[in-house]
Amino acid sequence: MRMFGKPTPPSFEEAPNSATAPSATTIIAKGVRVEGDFSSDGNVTIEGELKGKLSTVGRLVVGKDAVIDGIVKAGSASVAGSVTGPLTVDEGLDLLATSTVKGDVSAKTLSVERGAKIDGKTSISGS
Amino acid sequence: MTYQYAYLFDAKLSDRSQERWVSRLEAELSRRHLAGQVLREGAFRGLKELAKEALSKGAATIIIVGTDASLIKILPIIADANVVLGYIPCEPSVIAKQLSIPEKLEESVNCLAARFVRQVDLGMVGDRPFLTEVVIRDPKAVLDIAGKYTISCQQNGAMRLVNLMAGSSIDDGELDVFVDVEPVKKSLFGGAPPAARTHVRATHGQIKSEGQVRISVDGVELNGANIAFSVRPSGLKWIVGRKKHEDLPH
Repeated sequence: MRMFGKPTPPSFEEAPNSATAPSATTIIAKGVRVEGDFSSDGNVTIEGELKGKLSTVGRLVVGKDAVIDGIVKAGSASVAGSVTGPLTVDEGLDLLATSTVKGDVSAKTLSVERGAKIDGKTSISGS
Repeated sequence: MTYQYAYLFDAKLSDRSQERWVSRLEAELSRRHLAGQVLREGAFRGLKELAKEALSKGAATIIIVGTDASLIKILPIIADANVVLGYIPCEPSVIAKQLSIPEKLEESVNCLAARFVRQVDLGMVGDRPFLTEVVIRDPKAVLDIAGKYTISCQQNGAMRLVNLMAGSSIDDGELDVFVDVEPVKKSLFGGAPPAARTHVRATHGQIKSEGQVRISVDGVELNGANIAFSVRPSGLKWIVGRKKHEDLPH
């Protein structure tokens, strides 16, 4: 790697913004695209775009404007956006009115709001 | 002669307006039996040279007396040295706050005397160490996280690799990666709604780009292409404030 520096007086004007305490939840916000194999040990919120594989043992929240294209696995999930690909949830899956799922859905329990779209096989194991 | 403590004074403290502050500090250090070798930055000897000199003379503890910028200047020199670092800030300091080091002179000397040493993570970008954060504002840049996935901005924004931040652990062995995207739409009342913030954690990765990208490392502007980043867990031994010391798991 080649780097050359142009010394400027260090400034921490932005530090207060940067110094916000980290949240326990992993967040992919709107306007951000993630590609690849994304995994987490905690809760995950997707508001932006994700292409690839997403897995978390925690709770997954897919926002209204979120677009996921790939294989999704989660401990539990609430979906308001678009998921294209198989969606496997260990516990409860909530499909909200604005959600669109194109792919097979598997969960222990499922709740579907009026208006939600599912294009695929649904498998509910029950409690 | 070997000194246990070497004090590196920033050139700012040679200013007449700082005379009283420096006198008070020297008196306080003497009173607490913390006196040591004093090296003052000058026109022909920068802080880096002073740090090298202190190390060559076998100083076991290097105390920076100055500002966050002073600390950042000597970081490349002390990053690989097996020394304990101390800090007496002469002005409000983001780094001191994050290490619970008091900003009041007498209290910061008390902190030094208490000598609670904690290991602090050190960020690395290329072969350059960093303490606080790396900011990438170039829209061409893509963050590759551990070769597993990439993060890119689809609209203007800034990506940040944060090492030290308020409320976070100083020795968790991870960097916090934030992406702040500028809002596109104006709100009803003209002001922009709050920008969304992406947050993930990473131990290593790369700032990928087709050409050179401009990044800010601890406030210093640099250019580079395909720059690796990582965290060196517990890379520094630092005298911290009591509060930070008490954060240790017991």
